[in-house]
Amino acid sequence: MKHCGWMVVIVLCGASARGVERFEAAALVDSFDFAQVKERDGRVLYDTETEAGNIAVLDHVLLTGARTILWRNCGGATVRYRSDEERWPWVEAPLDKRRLPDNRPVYGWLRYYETEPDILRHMLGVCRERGLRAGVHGPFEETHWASWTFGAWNFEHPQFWGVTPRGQVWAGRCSLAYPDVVAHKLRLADELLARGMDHLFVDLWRTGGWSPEYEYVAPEVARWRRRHGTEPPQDPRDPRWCRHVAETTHAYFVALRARLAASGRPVRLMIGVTEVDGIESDEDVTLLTRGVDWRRLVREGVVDAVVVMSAKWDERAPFESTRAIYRHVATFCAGRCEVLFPVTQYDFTKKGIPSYCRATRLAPETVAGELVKLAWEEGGDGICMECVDHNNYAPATRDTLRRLLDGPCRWKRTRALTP
Amino acid sequence: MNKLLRSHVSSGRILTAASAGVALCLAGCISSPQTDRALRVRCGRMTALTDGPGHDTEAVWSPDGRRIAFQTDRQGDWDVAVLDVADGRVTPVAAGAGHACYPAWTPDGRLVYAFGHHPMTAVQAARSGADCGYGLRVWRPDGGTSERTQGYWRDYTPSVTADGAFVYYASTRGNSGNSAGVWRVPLDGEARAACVLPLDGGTVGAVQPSLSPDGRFLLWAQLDGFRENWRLTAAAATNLQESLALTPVEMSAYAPRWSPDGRLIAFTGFRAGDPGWGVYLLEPRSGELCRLATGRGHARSPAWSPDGRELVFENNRSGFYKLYRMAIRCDPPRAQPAEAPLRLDRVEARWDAGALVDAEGTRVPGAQQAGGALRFERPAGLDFGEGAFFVDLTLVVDRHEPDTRIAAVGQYAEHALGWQVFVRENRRLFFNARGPDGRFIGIESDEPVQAGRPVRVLGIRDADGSMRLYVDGRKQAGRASGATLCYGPALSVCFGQQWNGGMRLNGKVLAFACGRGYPPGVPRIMTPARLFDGEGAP
Repeated sequence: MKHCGWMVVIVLCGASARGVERFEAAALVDSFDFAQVKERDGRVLYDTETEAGNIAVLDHVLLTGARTILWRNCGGATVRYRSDEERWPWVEAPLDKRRLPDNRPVYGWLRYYETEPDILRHMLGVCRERGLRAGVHGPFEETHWASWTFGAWNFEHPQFWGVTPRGQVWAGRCSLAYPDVVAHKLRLADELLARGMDHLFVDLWRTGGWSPEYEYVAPEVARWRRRHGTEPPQDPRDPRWCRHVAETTHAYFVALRARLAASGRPVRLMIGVTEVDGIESDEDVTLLTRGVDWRRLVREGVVDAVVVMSAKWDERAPFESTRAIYRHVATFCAGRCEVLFPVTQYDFTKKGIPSYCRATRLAPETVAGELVKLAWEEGGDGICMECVDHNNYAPATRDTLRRLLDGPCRWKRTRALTP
Repeated sequence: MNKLLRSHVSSGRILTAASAGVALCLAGCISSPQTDRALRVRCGRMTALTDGPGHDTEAVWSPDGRRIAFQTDRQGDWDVAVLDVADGRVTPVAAGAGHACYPAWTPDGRLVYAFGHHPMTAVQAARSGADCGYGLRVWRPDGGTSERTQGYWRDYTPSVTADGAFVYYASTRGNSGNSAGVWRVPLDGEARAACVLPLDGGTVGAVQPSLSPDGRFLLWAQLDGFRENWRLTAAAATNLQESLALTPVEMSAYAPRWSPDGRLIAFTGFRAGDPGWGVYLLEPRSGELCRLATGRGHARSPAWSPDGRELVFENNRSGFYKLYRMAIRCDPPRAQPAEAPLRLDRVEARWDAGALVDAEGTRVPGAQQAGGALRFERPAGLDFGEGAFFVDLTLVVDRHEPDTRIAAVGQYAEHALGWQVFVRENRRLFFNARGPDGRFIGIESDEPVQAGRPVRVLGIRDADGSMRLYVDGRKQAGRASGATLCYGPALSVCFGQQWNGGMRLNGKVLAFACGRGYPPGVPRIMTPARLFDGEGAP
């Protein structure tokens, strides 16, 4: 958009500011990622097992202009607060010899599960005191790609473990096809509610290696046989199998929605979807690799917000193709739920800021600014930054983000204003 | 601790009295399938040894059979205590602040256990240089305790050899990944600890090692990746590199203990369809398994009585894991037919004067590609099926690049990158094959490859899906398993580039051969007959 166009929009937005909602700036915060940050002299900057250390983490994150803090509650299924549900067996290697220890200095010796005061309760409280939106970043995963992140409850319930088409059990994740597992997950949600969570962001990108491949468990196979009279497809990426699994995950989200509502507080349920291409099809990555039909969750009003964590933009036209995808998604979500778009420094999907930089030869702060404006212009309700670590959003990028989020993109742009 | 002990004492006496006739009341429950080869086990009644709140786990029977050492968390963290089998009295061995766990008896009645105490945060400990690891300690019957190992690492799950000379244990010493290797230290004296099975990298490790009663074999539980299952693994004590997985890939199996006569292994296991964790018996030569009937709750961590007639283990039917004992009788499986002969080893394709020549002498000329790469269309002999195969090549890297470069790749209908040998941006070599679902499964070399020097790379996919990599004849430490893709005819083989022309190697392939089975001089996959009876050793 040309400069004069921006001025018009700024004026319009300023004039209609009263009663208009703030354009959201959400930050995913993983305190673990700060645990080993050192000064040049070797001094560790953040002691994330202390109150002061976590407040320092928050202060650093706020330099991006974030106003919604989604604090990570776990690494895999090892929770980062004093959980009753995940208390035993000890979620520490070598106290549970089925966990291979993380041997990196500092990282491998963190014990968030027994830190006092309870990290999550403390940090959600700090956010509320500061007028920030206080939420939790809860990955859909139960393992973060290492055996030391497996859950205590999971280890104690092998009878609910995932099973591959070849009959191999995997300790990494229990299946939602079992009512006991759903009940366990809902008790974990209760623990988050009890700690003051107002926003629950379920990150469907982070699945820790789980996929419908591990859902060949007895109840799912039996359900398939009853319905189809045949054996289930052996290809776990068969869309028919993924849709079958998605019915179970859908039921879990419905139950989770009800559980949050039962708290009596308006707790927002958000989901993060990945590699979105705008077009609804059986090729949807979230469906095929996560076994979740996110569009159905939106249509049925199960979720309050969709966070697009990455979009399948085209390298030949990075911003133009991004805009088209955002427009599709915003149109789909309009009237149904909020939608946040990514301004992400992480580049695991090769669709983050670094990849835009490579494709456009623009500086990271310029790309970040363009992405904020794109999200705003296409009627997004905000942006999401994944994850804000120590200086992965460089000072220049943070300055750009703050300038836009406190300036021209301070308020949501109503769809009526969209050209 | 005292309150805990009083509770154990009072309840333990009653429980022990009730179990006096345990060896006489075998219920005859046979929990394995009724086949000629089945391991037939009769179990006695399960009798509780401890009760009350708190978990009592990791029990081990003393060599004289009169005591059982175990760990208990009644007071919060783990403490080690000893139960007198005759009167049920419990005596503390290691209590107080910190975790004392994984007790192991010495032949002369001492206890080796792991200990760690971490009052500081991880950062505070790092700043202060404080030790925050787990080390091995030795408790003596006179009440004294000595430190055997200690450092900024974790030593755990010790076992003591039958002659009392050495302690084998899992350790993370020197490791950087999510991993643990096997170490050994003399029980007494000044000699230093030594690593006997180095395992490091992404989620790979060996835990709870122990020597067989005759000292010939080492047994441990091994994990080869976070998606894989713990598997019992054994090797000749003199050659731990050539190991044998004893339990099926589909099953989670850990915490192995040799029977006193060395015929059986008791362990904790779970297979799809089981009601929970169970105590299994394994006859290692035949591979026959039997899940013991232990009723409600999970049953774990079995350990043998010295006479081999009973097991002590933990069960959580009461809500806490408590200790139980159970008599067992086991009939060995009947004689088995000889193993089917392995398919003959054979070189199926080799590179000769610009062509791939198959075993029948048919030549497939290589099409020259940019940058000196070669492409061979539909070469014969690379349809390895589900069996073992090898890729043997010599390459030279002229210059390393900041990203991955391909030395050789086999393209298949099942997967375009069916197997590959490549050089990573970290300058290390990689050999990979595929799982049945196309998953990448590979091994990285221990060290970076030097530019300008020929290096011989031998990658092997064993018939059980495990992977091996040799560099200049030296077996690399990395491990991987699950590569059981069935390979049909190859669509192409490329040297020095990816199948689609990318990722060109800045260097060249000097020699190449591939085939079924194993090339000369390389040990074939370990089998029970080879390991336990020395058959067919190369």
